[in-house]
Formats: sequence, C-alpha cells, structure tokens
Amino acid sequence: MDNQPSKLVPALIGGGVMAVLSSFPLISLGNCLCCMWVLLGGGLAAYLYSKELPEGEMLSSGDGALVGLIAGLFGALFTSLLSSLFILIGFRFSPEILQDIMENNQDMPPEFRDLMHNWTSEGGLGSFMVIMGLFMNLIMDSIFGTLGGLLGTAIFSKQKK
Amino acid sequence: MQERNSKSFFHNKQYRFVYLFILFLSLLNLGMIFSFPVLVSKSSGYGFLAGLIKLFYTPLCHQIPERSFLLWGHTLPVCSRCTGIYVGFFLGTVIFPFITKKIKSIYPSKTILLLALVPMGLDVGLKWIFHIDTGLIFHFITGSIFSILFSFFAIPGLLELSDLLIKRGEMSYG
Repeated sequence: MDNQPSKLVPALIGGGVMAVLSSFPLISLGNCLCCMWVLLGGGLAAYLYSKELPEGEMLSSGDGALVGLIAGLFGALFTSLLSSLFILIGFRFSPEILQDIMENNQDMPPEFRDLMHNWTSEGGLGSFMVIMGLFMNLIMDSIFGTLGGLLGTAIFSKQKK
Repeated sequence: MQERNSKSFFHNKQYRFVYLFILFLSLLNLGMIFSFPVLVSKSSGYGFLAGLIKLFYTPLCHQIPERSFLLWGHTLPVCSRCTGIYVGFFLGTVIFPFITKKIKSIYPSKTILLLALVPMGLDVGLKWIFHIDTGLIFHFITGSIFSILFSFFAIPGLLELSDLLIKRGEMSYG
C-alpha cells in the first residue's frame, strides 16, 4: 500500500473536470443523463491513477472506487465554489431560473412552490442554494464519482496476461 | 482486477454489512421514486416531502413528463430510462449473492459490461441522431439491462473500497 502512487493529483484533476463541466450553464445539462459529467470525472480520475501505477500492476476496483470517491468530494466542493462565483456575478440561480423550474414541473406541490417563492422574494435564495447545493453535491458526487471510478476501472484496467 | 473466489465474500461480516447497506440505499432510492406519486397527491399532506424528492432528482434527470412513467395520475420524478437504471441496479443487487455462489470469480468480464452498454447506447443514439423514439418501455428495458450488469462490477468494487477505507482508518488511528 505504501508503494502505491498518490491518489490526490488524479482525484484533483477528475474533480476539477467534474466541477467545470457541472457548473457551466448549458454544458451542465449533461448531468441530466445520470450525472454524466460526474461519472466522467470519476472515470478520468481512475484512468489517470492507473497511468501512475508501476508497469505490470493492475488497477483494482477498490482503488478505482476510492480515487473516484475522492474526485467526487473534490468535485462537490469545486462545483459549489464555482456556483457561488456564478451567483456573485449574477450569472446563475437567478430567481427567474428557479421560477421556471417550478413552473415547468407541473407535479411540484403547491406548498413547496410557495415556500420557494417566499425564499425567492425574501432574497435568501443565493445562500439557500449554495448550502443546499453543497449538501446535495456532496451526496451525489461522492456516489456517482465512486461509480464513475468503478466504470473507469472496468474500462481502463489492463487485463492480466 | 484481483481474482477472488466468490465464496469468500459472504462469509465475511464486513462484506455482509456493506452489501446490506448498498441494498438499503438502493431500496430507499426506489422508495423515493415510487412513493412520489402518492406523496404528491393533494390528500396525502406530504407535499413538502414530495417537493424535496422532485428537487433531489432535478440535477440527475431531465424529468420531462412525456418521457416519464405515469403512476396513479402523476409522473414519476425521473424519466423511464433512469427508472430502468435504478430498478435494474436494485435487481442486480438482490440477485448478486445468488449469482456469485454459482461462479468461480466474482468479477465479470469487461466485454460483458461494454456489451450491456450497446442497447442503451443504440437507444440514446436513435433518439439524438435520427430522432426515433423507441418508447418508454424500451428506454426502461435498455437502462435495466445495463445497470443489472453494472451492479456486478459495482458491488465487488464497493466491497473492496470498504476494505481500503477500513485499512486506512486503522493506519490513521494506529
């Protein structure tokens, strides 16, 4: 275990890619396909880690999952930071966007819609979205980052000869 | 990947615990999806909870009503393909212990996973490139096929991950 390369750099790169793709408007819609960018970030981290391994050593699924999990945690933090930055410059999570989401979701219960409307009108939306977003990202990105790491391991690990 | 005999997995208390935890999370996920139409109905009084469930799945799925199953007069909070993926993962998790008792190595071939991706990839490709919609049932089935097989990769990986995390914990705390 001590001879293994560090997982930090592959996880940071995977998490960074995950966050950039998940934060930019329009591009972030790719996450609507089962967290595609998060899976990609986890898979990329596993791929980069497998490249660091000594010649002849295979990437185990446990290591792939772990590097994907770490990438997911970094990705969640970076995504929240980038999203906060977008809020600060007034680029994303504007009340109009949230209202659009609420109106397009016909099944959204009225009491929930009212609550969101109150938050929007009181101006508490930005901080609410950042905290809620960080919490949700930590859960989602760690789960899907781990699964991405496992997918990356399945696809990129070299078969034993 | 390590060659490991499948029998060693379920004789281990830690692995049994991790497996049950994965099964619980998978069941909770399905519970959230299929309880949504009940919770969202006006008479239930759990509209707020339904709203949270809907919001929870917003970043994960496009939630287009026309591409989601209708249950008790309300659409599910995820599309038919995502429903298939989650149901498939749950089914894969349930049958995993029974399947792994019959085989020598716990890890399936990489080719199987890539083949499982083909029907779902074709379905997505037909929609995006040729604008041919194969229908909700087909989306559901192709999603399920992929995730049942993916669960056979994911579960051993997660069991191994638990090993690594415990080892790291032991190293950190002496």
